[in-house]
Amino acid sequence: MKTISEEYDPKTGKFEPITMTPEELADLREQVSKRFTKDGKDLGFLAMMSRLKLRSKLKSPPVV
Amino acid sequence: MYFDPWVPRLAGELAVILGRVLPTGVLVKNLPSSLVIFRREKVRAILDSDPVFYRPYGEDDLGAIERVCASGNNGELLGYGARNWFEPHGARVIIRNFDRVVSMFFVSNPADAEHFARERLSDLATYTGEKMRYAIEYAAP
Repeated sequence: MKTISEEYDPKTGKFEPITMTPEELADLREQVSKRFTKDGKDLGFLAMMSRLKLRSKLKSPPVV
Repeated sequence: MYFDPWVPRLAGELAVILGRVLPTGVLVKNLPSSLVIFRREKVRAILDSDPVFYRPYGEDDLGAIERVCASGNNGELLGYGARNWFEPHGARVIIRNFDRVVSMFFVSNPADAEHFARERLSDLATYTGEKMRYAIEYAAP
């Protein structure tokens, strides 16, 4: 399976290519498998909002 | 478009609050058990790109949005680059914050995955103010 990764720094507005370790990718896959249902529901949405501190910062949410 | 399933009471309250503060042209609607926020011209362009899929019974914009949200086919409207999680050979996009917590997961068309991963990554990082990362996993051909 081909994988690509990048990191974004909002202070500079730049994307940098990175290499995630197999352990990091495995951890991400495990989090996804525990949190998202097969039909696309995010069971951890409220927890994620809290952890990201979006509630206090979402004064002007991104809207397309 | 923003979409999330809130209980009806909260969806209604949030719609009222957000309706007062969002810029002109951004619509807030509470559907049954969910809240959607969108710019009509952006959403309409997607809905009109495939009326057979999005408006099979001649639905108006909100009716079409409600139908694809209820059926789990709103991925294009959400800016994921694919309609749902069942796209053949779809690319899996995982975005995580700097504490290694997954912040977003979606499936995209392989040809567009990098574009949509960058768009959603920069959305989240800009509003949290922290560095974030994405990983795209492409299915084997």
